[in-house]
Amino acid sequence: MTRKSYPIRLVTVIAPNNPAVTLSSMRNAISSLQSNVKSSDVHLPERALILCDAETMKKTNIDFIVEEAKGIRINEQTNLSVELLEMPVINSLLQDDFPYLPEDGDAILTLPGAQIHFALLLDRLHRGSNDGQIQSAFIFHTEPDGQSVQWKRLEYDSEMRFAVDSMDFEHISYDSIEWIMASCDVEYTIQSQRFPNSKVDDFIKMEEEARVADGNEVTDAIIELAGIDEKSSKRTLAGKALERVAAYCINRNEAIGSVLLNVEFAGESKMMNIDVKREEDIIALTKRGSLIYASCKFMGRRTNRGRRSIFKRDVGRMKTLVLPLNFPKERIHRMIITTTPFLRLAEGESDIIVTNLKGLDEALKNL
Amino acid sequence: MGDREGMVIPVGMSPVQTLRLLRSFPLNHFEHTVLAVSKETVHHGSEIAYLMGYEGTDLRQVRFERVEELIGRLPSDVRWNLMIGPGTKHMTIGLWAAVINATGVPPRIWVDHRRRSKSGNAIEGEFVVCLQDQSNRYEIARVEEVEACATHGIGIGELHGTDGLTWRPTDSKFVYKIEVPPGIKGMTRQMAREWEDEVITKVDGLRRSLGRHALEVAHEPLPSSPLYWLKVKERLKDLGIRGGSK
Repeated sequence: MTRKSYPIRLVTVIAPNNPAVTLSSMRNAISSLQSNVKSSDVHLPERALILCDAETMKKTNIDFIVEEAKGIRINEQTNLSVELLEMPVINSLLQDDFPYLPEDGDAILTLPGAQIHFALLLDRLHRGSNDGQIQSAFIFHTEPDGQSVQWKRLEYDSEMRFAVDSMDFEHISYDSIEWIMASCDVEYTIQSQRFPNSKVDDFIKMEEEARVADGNEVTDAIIELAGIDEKSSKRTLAGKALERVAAYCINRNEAIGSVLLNVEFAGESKMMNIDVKREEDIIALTKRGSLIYASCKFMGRRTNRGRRSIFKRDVGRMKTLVLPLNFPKERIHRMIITTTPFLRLAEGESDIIVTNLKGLDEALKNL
Repeated sequence: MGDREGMVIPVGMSPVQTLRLLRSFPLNHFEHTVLAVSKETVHHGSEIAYLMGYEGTDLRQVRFERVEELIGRLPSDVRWNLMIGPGTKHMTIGLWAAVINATGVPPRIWVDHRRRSKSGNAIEGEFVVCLQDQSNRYEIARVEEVEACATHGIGIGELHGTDGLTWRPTDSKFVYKIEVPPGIKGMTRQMAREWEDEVITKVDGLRRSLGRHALEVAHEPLPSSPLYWLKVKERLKDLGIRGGSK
């Protein structure tokens, strides 16, 4: 897109409980132009039209989406200007008036609306272009794997026929873990604890090389490294310590954008009037837009039958783990971080990553 | 209608959807029909082409990346239509661009639409509708069990041999009802977890072979105590598997 016209207004449809995709789709559209086209050649879209139906409004925090969208920077002086428009619910989409009025330079974002929304937006664009109102229009699409984005431009060619040209960009993710978490009732801690790198690296080396007989030494070392001083069994303390050290190690990796610890999801069920909650150890977002669910299993050194059985059960659980987050499944990776002797029990597993602390950086490299 | 009309229709991972949409049009409605497949759906496309037969239309199957080239070889006075619904958005965008670049004209867009009651039942049937002229619509055809299985590349014996799996022709969906084993209330936490893992693995396999959109999954009521059954139910719900408690 180095000639001709550029998008003027972004147009998107909100899906229920999915603020992250709505917001990241808008930010990706702007950022892909900012980073891939020479600034002197392009003006960036400064306006956005968000379409939303009454059912989605009931299930989604629309104010949050609109406010966050208004915070998207176009340049140092300007933020995105946002208009919210109510459209008919799916049931009435074809009976009632679809309120979208296309404008020249409109860019339709394919995510997160349904195919029927996309079809209606395209149909309106076609009508606008047939009437001569629309000289150019755009489609912006983020691939489900999050690794690339695609712009299409519809314009008259030199023979006054419509033509579509396209440009694919490698994608740098502009997702935000806070946006992803905003889709559900969740509590978490943002990873902020720091440990001396030299001590962490010493422990990682020691853990990898330790023999069966060194079990107590490894357990004491990780508890001391994490600085945990609570009254509980050593096994429990070592488990918590591994979570904290692993979260730190993930966070210090260059591929990582942000890390959350002890993520607690509220469920709909209640037991004795207390909400049933589920907790995952670590959730991390990489800079390339992958989401990692990591479970930490401090299993010690002895791979006796009982521990093998517990570990295999956890591997099975992680393989099928689905959390109540609206995020493309292609971009979710499941990981178990455990002690070295247990790695061989998961050899050949392809659906999840099983690693010790030593292998963490390698495991994160391509995510 | 009928003269010099062409339809481009994608084949996605729930191919029975494409078959039922194509079946909804009267014979000879389109002079040319292009089944646009991806590398994952080539074999589904072949089954659909076989079931549709070639009578009355020039039916061609082609990789979606090559649709522009194909349309460019067909007569230039054909008016092209594009079905939006089956397949991924990536395919839809590619096909939209392909028609425009081959003809210089945007395609007329068709969708399938049904109104649902609160209980999920269709009101007034389900239609394939041309957005440019909504009076141009056809009620969506039924697909019978044997054809649904053929489209998905499974044998009818496989369908009947899977407990809880049935075909519902009214809205062309496979329905998988997860049966709760007798004595479920006496299961320990570990046994409950193992049962849940088995269920998830089974559903995963079915979703892979039948496509997510062509399969509806629900479970029989689960116990509401002990507490871990509520967690099992929550986790199943996260996977899109719903059902009650007792």
